[in-house]
Amino acid sequence: MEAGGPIFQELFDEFMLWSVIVGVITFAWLFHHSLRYRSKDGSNNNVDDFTPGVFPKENGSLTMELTWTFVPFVIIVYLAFISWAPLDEMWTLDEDAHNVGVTGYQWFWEFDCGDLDEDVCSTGYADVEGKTNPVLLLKAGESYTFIINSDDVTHAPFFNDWGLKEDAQPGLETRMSYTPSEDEIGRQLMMCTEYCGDNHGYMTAIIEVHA
Amino acid sequence: MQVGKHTRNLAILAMLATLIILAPASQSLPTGISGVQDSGCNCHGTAASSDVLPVIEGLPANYEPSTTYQLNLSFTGGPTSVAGENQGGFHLWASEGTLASIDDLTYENADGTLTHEEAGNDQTQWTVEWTSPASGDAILRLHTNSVNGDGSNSGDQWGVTNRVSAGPALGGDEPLPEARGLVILMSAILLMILITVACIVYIFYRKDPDAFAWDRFWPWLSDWLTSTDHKKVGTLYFINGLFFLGVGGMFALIFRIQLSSPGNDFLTVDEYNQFFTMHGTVMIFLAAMPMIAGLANWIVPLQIGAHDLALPRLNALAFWLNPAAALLLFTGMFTGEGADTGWTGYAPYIVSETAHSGVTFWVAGQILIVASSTISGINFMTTFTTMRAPGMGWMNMPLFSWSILISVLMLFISIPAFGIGLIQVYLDRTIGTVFYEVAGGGDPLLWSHLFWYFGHPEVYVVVVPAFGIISEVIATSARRTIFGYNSMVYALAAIGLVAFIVYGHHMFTSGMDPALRFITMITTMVVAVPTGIKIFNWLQTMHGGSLVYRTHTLWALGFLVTFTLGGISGMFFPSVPMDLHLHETYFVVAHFHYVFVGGTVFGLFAGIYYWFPKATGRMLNERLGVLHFLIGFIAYNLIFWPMHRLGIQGMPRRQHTYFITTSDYFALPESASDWNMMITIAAFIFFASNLILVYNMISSGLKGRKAPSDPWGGWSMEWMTTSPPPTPSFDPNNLPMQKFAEKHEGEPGFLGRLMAKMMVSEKEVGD
Repeated sequence: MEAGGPIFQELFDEFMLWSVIVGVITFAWLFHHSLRYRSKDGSNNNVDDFTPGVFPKENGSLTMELTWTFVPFVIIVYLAFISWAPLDEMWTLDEDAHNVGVTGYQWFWEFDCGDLDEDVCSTGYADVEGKTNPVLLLKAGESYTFIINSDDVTHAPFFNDWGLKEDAQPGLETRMSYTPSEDEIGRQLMMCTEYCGDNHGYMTAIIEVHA
Repeated sequence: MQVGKHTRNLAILAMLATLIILAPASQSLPTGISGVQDSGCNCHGTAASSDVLPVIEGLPANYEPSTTYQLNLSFTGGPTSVAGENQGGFHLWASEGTLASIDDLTYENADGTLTHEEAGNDQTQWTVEWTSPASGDAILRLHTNSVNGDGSNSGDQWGVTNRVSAGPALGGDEPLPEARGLVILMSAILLMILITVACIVYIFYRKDPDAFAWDRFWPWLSDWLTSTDHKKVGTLYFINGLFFLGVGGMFALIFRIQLSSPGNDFLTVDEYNQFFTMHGTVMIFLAAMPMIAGLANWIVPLQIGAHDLALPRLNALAFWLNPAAALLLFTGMFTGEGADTGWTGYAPYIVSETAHSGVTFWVAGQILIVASSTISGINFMTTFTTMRAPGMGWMNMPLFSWSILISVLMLFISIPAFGIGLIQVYLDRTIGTVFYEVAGGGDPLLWSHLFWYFGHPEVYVVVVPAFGIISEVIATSARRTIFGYNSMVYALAAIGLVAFIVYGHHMFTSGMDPALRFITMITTMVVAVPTGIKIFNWLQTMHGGSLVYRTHTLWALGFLVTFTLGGISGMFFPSVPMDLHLHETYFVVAHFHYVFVGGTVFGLFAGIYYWFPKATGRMLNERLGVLHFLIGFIAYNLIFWPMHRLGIQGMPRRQHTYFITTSDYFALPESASDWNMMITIAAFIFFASNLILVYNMISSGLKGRKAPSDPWGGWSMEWMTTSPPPTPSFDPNNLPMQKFAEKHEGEPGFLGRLMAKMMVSEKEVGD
């Protein structure tokens, strides 16, 4: 198991590539200029004749400034574009998905499988560092829509292995769809990622995906 | 007599401050001063009698979590020697856990307390049950009446006792020492106050060792307390900010100890939640903003050739609201019930019963900060529009002044939304309105909108002035005019504008419409364009220059490194599919510390080294400065760089602990605990490195080399005055005239003419 779902990992690699490109250019430029154009003897050579109270002579080049306005803009449009399709994929709710209720309470989770088949969705309990935690058992390859709600304050279930989270708001139903794959068989610790008070850090549950 | 009047006013203020501190301490008792716990159950007699000794048996010194204990309540002494009817009564209250009646001698009150039934009147002992909570110390308070049985209350006596059952002992039989984290913090703050006071007295002593006397000290101090001079108010702002930078840092150190290993119990959950809340609040509202305001106060009038700010008295008011706000923000902490909502204070938690009572004071303090920011916003905008030196058009202002103008504009437009939200929360918490109460039809998301409409511009408000400082420092150090002055100003303005349409990216996981998510994703990414323009302009400024390496140059170059990294990591969040994984993890923590510390704080450090000679007339020690930079820069990166990794691995922020993968479940990898330990160690080094700066400022301020009026060879108007500048900073009747190295297009331009139409005519201002 690895943190972040397949969509996250794919996008992350692409963004990292561009980060490294931008970073290398910027830092090469920074180190080159700060060393190449240093004052050799440490004296205050007044290159542009600074005099207090006198607005100095102009320094600039419209072409260069437009270049580094336009080029980052193109990169950004590209990055937004490659984020578009995964965004759609994530937010298209599958009509045939199984509905699973996730409700947050201060400070524990409750899962509701409704009338779903035992094999597709069931719940249980397990021990996490000496505390009883709820367990949600799901089947790999099945599609699920989590109907997320809260009984008191805002919580957010965080499925680390899938790279997904969605707020549990009181008085508002939020939805999130996911189809766990065969690669994601195993048990992951689900945490709360919207601050909810005293035992926020211990508001955990276990999500188990089985074959 | 002048001094006497001030003494009286100060005494009144001190009394009010003491009352403000003490009032919540009494109110924070479970139900206040007049609650039933204090007077007991229908106590017979007016005052407690020392003869009556209530006894609770069966209460363990350390309870097991969620266990039921049988308690034997009894008392001795008093007039209850007569056997038969009407011997005694009791009332039992528990701060934690639940009390239960197990026979018909006792009775459960609606508020969860226990008292005796009619039949229980004839007893001097009762048996009840107490179920312990999961954690936290429990206080049990027992009142007993000793009754003489004559059917009236006269001659009866009563007594009260408190017993504490500490929380479950972790990992051993030894009971945990009480209140560790809070005690450490409070001692440290007290120590810092003492050191600050000692420094002030020492500085006064060193000014003139022969004339060290109280009757001379007082006028000197009262001059500082009542001054409206922009330089003095600026210094006050700055010292205030620096002090709270230390306090905020200590918060961080203490909760870093907690996080240094998984499953640690150095802090209780309660303390931990207060500490990270106050760390965020203090750093942004009491450290970063006052330090920026301090520099702005000092430098802006000097840079634009004004003799002071436009509204000096409002300026002093805006400052003095800050210490008052700080007192309010901390009031909750002093009672052990500090705000525990996170600096974002999300609804409905902030109005819920489970939030600490100190939140009300926290909200009140924030309202004062809102007032302070609004007032100082008006002041600066007025100063910029009316008090620029003759000949200085809008597009001739130094970039630091421009950055302050953009920053106060943003703040002025955004902070009222925060104020409204705070007032709503305050009303919800005090008089029972239901703005954020879901059951009453309130909408918790309204808070998120109001908060982030302010919160996002706010983060730019604190970073934009750093842009200004870096522009000044890089240009002066490279001996080159800033590359693309116009595009720098437009980029600042663009950042200021875009700041208002991107805040939705803080709420990607709150059930937002997918179409809106996409729009916010694009607007957020667009922020990178003006930011990129600024970074590349700074880099290109060095081209063809003659870069002089001073401490402020090092900090500015360091800023370019860290801010670029912070900017790049910021590009990962707007992409919604990635944000769903990274939201509320340490990746976020790493990112915003790279822009807040690597951006704002490094910028402020550069500003300190750059303008210190101007402000004090003495040069800072360069050797100590370089040492500060080297240690600070390395330790800083060791703290925040590994946090990116932890965030990607899924370590959520604001959590008291973290979980390592076991054979049972998948969580963080084993190495996460080593990284966290390293971060904690580096945090201590970073904190210590900043003490070098404080030492440098004090020692160089007292006996450093005398500074010339233009030590670095800058061009803007602050370098025309002496170091330190006179008061008023420029002669109001003989203001400096902006000159130009090159022939330039006529000012006012279009914007200037438009402004002039709305303003009082320039002639009137001149008068």
